[in-house]
Amino acid sequence: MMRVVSLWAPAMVFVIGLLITQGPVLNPDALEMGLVGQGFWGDGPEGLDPHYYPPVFPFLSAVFSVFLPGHAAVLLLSPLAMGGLFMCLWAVVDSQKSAVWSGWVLVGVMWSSPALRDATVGADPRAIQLVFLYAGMVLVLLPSSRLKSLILGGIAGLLVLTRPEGFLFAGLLLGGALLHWRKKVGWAFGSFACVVVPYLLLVSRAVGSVSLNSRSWEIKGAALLDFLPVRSLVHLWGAGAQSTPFRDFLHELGPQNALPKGDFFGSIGAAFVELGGGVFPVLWPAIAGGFWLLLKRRRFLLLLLAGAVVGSAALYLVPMGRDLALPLNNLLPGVVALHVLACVGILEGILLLNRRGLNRGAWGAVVVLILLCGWDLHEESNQASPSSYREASSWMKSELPEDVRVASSLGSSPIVRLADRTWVRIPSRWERVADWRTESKRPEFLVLTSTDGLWMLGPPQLFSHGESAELSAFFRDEKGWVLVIDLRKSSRGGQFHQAPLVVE
Amino acid sequence: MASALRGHLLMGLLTLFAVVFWAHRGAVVSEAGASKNQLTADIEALVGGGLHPDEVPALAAWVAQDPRVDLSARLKVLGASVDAKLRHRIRLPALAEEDPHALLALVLYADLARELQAVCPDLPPEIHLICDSAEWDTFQHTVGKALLTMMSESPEFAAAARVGGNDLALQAVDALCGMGERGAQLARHQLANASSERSAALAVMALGCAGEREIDPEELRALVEQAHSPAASVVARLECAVQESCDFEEPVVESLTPLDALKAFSNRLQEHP
Repeated sequence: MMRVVSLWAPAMVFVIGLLITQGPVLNPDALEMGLVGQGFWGDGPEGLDPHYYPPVFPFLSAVFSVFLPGHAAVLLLSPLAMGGLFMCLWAVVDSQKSAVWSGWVLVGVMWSSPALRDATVGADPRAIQLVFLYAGMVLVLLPSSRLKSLILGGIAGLLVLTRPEGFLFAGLLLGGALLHWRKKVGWAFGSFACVVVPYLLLVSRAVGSVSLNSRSWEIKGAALLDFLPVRSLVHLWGAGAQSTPFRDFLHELGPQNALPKGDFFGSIGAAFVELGGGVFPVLWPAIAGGFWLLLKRRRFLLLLLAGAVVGSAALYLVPMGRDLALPLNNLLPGVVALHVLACVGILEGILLLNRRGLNRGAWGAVVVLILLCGWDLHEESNQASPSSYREASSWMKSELPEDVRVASSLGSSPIVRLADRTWVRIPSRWERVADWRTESKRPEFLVLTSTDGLWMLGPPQLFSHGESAELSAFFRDEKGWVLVIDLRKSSRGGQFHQAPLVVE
Repeated sequence: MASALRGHLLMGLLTLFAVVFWAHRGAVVSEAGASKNQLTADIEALVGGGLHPDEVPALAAWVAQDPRVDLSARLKVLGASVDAKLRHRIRLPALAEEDPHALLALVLYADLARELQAVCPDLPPEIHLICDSAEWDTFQHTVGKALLTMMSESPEFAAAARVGGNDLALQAVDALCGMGERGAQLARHQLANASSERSAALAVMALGCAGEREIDPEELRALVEQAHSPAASVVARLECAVQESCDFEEPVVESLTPLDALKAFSNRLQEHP
């Protein structure tokens, strides 16, 4: 029993330690994926394209939503996946059977990364992508067998079904198997095809043309980034699974190769700068040591880790892959790879101390590492929403009718979704003029947050065209604010009417 | 073996229980939030001087732009009513007693500036500049020049904008829209001297302002033709589609490029306003 506990303890400390110190982060896309997943069982919300998101996250959240409220099912997946990732990484770094140390060193190293902490407490399919990728790596490192080959192909297929860039990492695993196993790899490709081909057929049928990706229209439209401001374009083609009329026009386009004019080396360089900045500086010597050790002893593992780094950096070549607000989000496979190198380096250092009979020194090194890396654990994730956002949800839940339609940006949609009110997207400035004059299309409330800025106030002005717009509620804290605006034409003099402001 | 299996099961369930508890707590909001609504208190504090407008920029922007609000209340919040990113980007010369941010806001809210100029010279020193037509003209010119520069700059790719975010060039466009005829003149100037497809498109957006500014279709057509910009042409269609009477008809094209798709979309928008 003690052995079982000692096997679980580091992973549990890693996950539960984070859950105690960090609040959950509700990603707007993940919430929408949860709604798409509900559609798998029966009646999902209207207007959502079921093929927009790769199906693994929506499906898993739908499975858990049988037992839990929908939003909780969405939050549950990342901590579980990151616990699984921890186990996989432990298996990767613990090649020298130094288990006593290695699990705890890994806890310290993973705690040191805000990006990995955020991936644990944030609802996002990237955590599932990581566990598939590194589980695949663990498998490829083992000697070949038919069963392993079948499982590896399945895992590679699931990577494609988890994130749009899944082909990159599936290719890494299958290429690794081809290189390492040589024999029996056909089974891996076979099972990969069994998982992926039906999905691609489904997507191609939905899109209307042969397609490797349900978001190919985004690539087709990316050239417009050279012509229009980002926000206008995004409003035209819609964010998330909410389809728009303009998206239909993009669907009808043939294959496009007109990506925005980007600088290849600049983009890749930016990715590496972000990757470098995402590592706790104290770990750099350990990363160098880990790199050198793997170069000497385990070149194949080094190759796989390098593949994860290069694969994630390649995402910076497409505009959608580069997120200025959360730059490490799409680089997570590379971030994990760097932390594996750090862990290998530190473990070797501790073994060296041990060999010289410095047992106390080795333990001390582990404790210092954990304390050093986890010292800012109490600080909330920078992806966490301000507390005023939650207060706004709570207010909506208690004050607004259940069937009310509330508009906001996709980024602020968790406020509306948490309140269990119907969220509607904000159309482009050109469509908004006509749409919002029509009673049936005009949302009843509009939510404006500090994440969005003030652009929603106009143009087109909320006050113009004889439209009604009254302030309903305002919430603020030191991190942000939320303004709720009542757009109902009949609201004047009603419950939410704001008295005219007159100052002496 | 069985004991180990039981142990693994127990540890797994323990972890699952902790995660479920945490997820459930994070996903459910109570209905006790009504008491947290600070709207009335904050507005009173804002216009009464008990709250700095910079602490509540959204309320300040709302109050400053709402024509239904008393003029003196609007004056108090002017400085904070322009988005902070825009304010920080535009460097403005001002005397010690002047408030450059309030003056910037007055450039961007042309109607409010006109209203205030009607009561000149009875204005506080912070914004007294608007009573001196020559000085005010120079100030507006400086702001306009800064906005045009922002519209010419290349954007940084920001996938974050898909979930909201700020686009500085677009903020400059919106600012020109608030500047009345001066904003329109600046937009025409920008269109004639556009250095890229994108800045030409932005200039057309600043000219039409999503239906807020009446544009003469013939003038628009001439400007767009002069600019030789496919992007400006397509955005002109979009701007035209939201005008009461604007004719930019061309046969619907079969989609070949993203711009053609946008063109086809704008045609449809024009058909079904």
